[in-house]
Amino acid sequence: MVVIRETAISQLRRGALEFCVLALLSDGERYSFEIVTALGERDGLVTSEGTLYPLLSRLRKEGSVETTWRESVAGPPRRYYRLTPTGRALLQAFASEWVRFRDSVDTLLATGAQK
Amino acid sequence: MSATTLHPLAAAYLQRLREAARVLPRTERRDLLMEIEAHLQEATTIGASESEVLEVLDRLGDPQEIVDANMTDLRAAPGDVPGSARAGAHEYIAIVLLLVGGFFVGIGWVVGLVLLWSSSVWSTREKWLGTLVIPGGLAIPAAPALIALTATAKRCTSVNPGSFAAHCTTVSGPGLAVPVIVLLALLVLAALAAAAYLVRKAR
Repeated sequence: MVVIRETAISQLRRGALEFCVLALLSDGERYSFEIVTALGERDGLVTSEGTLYPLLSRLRKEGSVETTWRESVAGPPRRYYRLTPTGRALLQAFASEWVRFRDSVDTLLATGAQK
Repeated sequence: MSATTLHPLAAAYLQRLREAARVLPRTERRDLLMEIEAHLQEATTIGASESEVLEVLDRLGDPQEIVDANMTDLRAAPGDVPGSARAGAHEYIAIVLLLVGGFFVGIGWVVGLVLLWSSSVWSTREKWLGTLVIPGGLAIPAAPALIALTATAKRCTSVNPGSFAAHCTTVSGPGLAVPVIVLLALLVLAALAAAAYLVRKAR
């Protein structure tokens, strides 16, 4: 029971997570550490922050984000991420699909047992 | 990078990650280690206490889990990772053109080169090997050999305008000295070996 739940949830989480990254960038650029900790602070979204770095690398390769390295005042250089037009389009498409998906699941979860 | 500024616990974590990440392609590994090291430097200030560092490491997660996630993401990404993509017609045409494309006024070899570099199955090092061993492919050693062969032809001349008897001689062309033949043979072998290597790497 617990095992089934964890697999399903972790798959859902992985699928939605990349759009959470895109959403986080929708109002401007952020550097990797900011993105990772911002998502890590959300309840139930990320189990290990480190796994977000490979995700960021994939988004880069898929062309939904682009990056620039910049020196920081103190500490290591920072890699800044921003949305590409492709990324923005993907985010918009996901956002409307997600609302339909979520509403259907919510409806079924609330009323499914009675109908 | 300045791993020396890291807390010993963070440095040990990074070392475990470095070992776990050996299975990843080089650029992926370098990227991941660089990002995690930067993360550790951002998250742990110099005077951080042991429990603060442990908290940061705990949130980052097990190094093996991060590497596993990286492998999963690599499989999901478009195939631009050397070693993960499979060879198809594109790759085989590239190899054939690199070998014999030079016979078509050199254009074929250039097309082969474009196919080589646009393929995703070879690493940059392998692509350089395919480019440099040897430029022009088999056409380069074949050209001097062919010239020498065609120049060595039988020539017949009539001895006497009134008779049908002809005097035939074998006229040698410029010919090829033994060291040149050896060199040409080595070039052929090098080109074939490079092609075989690319085929093996493409699988």
